[in-house]
Amino acid sequence: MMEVFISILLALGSFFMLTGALGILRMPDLYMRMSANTKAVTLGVGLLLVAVAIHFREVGVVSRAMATGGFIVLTIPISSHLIGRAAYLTGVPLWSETIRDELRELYPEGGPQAGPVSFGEEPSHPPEPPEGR
Amino acid sequence: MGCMDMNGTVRPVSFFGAFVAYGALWWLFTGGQEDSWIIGIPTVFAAALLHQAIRPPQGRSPHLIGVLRFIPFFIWMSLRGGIDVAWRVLRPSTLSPVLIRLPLRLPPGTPQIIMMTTISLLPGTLSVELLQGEVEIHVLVSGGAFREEFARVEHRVGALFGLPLKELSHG
Repeated sequence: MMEVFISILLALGSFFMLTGALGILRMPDLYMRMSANTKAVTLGVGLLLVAVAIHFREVGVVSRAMATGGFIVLTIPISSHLIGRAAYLTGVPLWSETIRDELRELYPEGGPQAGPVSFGEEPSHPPEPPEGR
Repeated sequence: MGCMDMNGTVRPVSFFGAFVAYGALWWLFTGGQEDSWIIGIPTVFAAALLHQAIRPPQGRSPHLIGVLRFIPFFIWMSLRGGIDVAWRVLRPSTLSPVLIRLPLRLPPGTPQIIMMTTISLLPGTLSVELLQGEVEIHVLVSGGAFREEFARVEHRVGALFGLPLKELSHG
């Protein structure tokens, strides 16, 4: 019975990994490819790790599976955000049917003007006036 | 890596604390194999050093109860996100993407970073840019209830840090 459950988890995990790969092939622009890939792959790997943990049922394996899952959940969304952001700032074109782009007036040619907040800053301060005024 | 104080808030730990904690993790991951410590001790030492070097400046820290409530929510949203996007990949005709800027009410620092991370695992949304007080997101389906979903997640992330929920729940 447990074997069947583990097999289902492995099959589902592989299916989601496959849809992540298909997303890269089928989605029309970079943002949509990132969007598809991020979620499908996170879920796919998560399911495979759950299957591994259930199959072995040892403290060492379960803890490693949990740690791997934790690292994936921490790193995949952050890297996809950074790729999406880099694409935006370098002007990678959107799919023609994408509806709105409210940042466009904010980032005319020449880069960001509104001072995007980078990760790790806390709290962000408005730019200080030049010295000696 | 942090330890809990009396208010249930996670605070950064000292080098020694980090060393002990990473040592415990190593012990757990290796299943207590004694000969693994030949590599383990230098690795744990390096990890504790790195922990001290790159840990973020002192700021808001999540509450333990908030974390315990957030984890199942996060897993549930990731599950929905994965299923939703698998469906969209197989049926691309349902796509109507939009790139939109939404106001962000969470304070800068860790709360905003956790918000951005969560957005990218939600059904159909991807965080693109974090601005002062606003966030730029890419949404796969413009007709969906992504604004409500966004507000709900913001509310949850606020609760994670014990931030006032009433203020976050409207607007």
